[in-house]
Amino acid sequence: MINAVLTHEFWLSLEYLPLAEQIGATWWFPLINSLHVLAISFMLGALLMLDLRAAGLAANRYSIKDLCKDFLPWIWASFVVACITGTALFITRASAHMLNPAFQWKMLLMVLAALNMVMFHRQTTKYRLADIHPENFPVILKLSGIVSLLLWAGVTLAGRWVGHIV
Amino acid sequence: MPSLKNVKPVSDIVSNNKNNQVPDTDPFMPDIAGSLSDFFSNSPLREFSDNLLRSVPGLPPVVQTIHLLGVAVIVGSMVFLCLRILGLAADRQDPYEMAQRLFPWFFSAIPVMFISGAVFFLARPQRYIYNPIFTIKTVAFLLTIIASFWLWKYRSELKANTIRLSTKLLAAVVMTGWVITALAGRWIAYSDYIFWPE
Repeated sequence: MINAVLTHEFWLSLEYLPLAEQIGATWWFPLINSLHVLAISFMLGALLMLDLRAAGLAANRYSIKDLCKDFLPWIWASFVVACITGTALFITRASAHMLNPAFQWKMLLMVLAALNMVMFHRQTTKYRLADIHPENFPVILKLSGIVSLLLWAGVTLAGRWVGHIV
Repeated sequence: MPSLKNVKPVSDIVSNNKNNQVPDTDPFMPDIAGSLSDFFSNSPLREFSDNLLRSVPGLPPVVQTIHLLGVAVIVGSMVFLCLRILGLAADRQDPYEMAQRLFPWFFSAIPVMFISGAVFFLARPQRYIYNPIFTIKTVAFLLTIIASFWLWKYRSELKANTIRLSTKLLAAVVMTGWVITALAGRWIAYSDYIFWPE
């Protein structure tokens, strides 16, 4: 089942899109790649500050709510740019990427990071925890901040590894 | 001074250059790039770094990821502080408090960046010394780190209710400088696209 998806000819057909050929054959590729890296560093830079606060390790004078208002727009905007540029890079070698273990790990780790984020969001809104003092913040949610950082570091490593396998 | 006996043949030096162009040397000008290249090529650190990257499986992407996460720390500390000073981000946080809290992160990232970068530079010095983008990165890095220290020195300016225009300009320079340094770093591997187009 999973193999049928990974080896489906759809991925190969993406590589024959005029846009994919344009990106893969010109300076568009390095340009898009550098925008991808820039978007990632903005996203991770803002996420680092938010996650360290969630873990109660830094910036404890501010509430999680305030830091979310400060950083979430930057995190989401950078994430969207990273996804668009990432897709643009992906379609140039889609069929190879689908079978690349580093790419598969990257996608898996991103799904886990998303699940961790949803869990964190649901717990903090359900129990209205975003305003409370760091000392009273549940340990499981502090751990969630650390787990988020580890998962995103893993996504970065897997993403960097993609280029060493293809 | 490096001895001429150990100098690598020119073909090795430019092997990374697609069209195998030999860098022009002017007999009346000191060959700075050549001297640097000789110095690093003959240093024992070159062999050490080269062996390290070749013999430990997976080490190159791991070291590159450390370098990349360092970029994220610099963006998270310096670039966001500058965005705050310019009034473009993080307006729920106090700029002076941010500077006090974030500069240590920035100062810790620099040695990590330097070491993780040096491993690659030392393994293949010619690849970098003869790469025009690496020169751009080096110049951008040196100017930006000086500007960053300057911002640290004058951080008490951030206590003011309205931050002075000169401080904002400095923040704009620091922010742009780090973005250029990071982008130049990525383009080192792509310099062929600019300088030796197909």
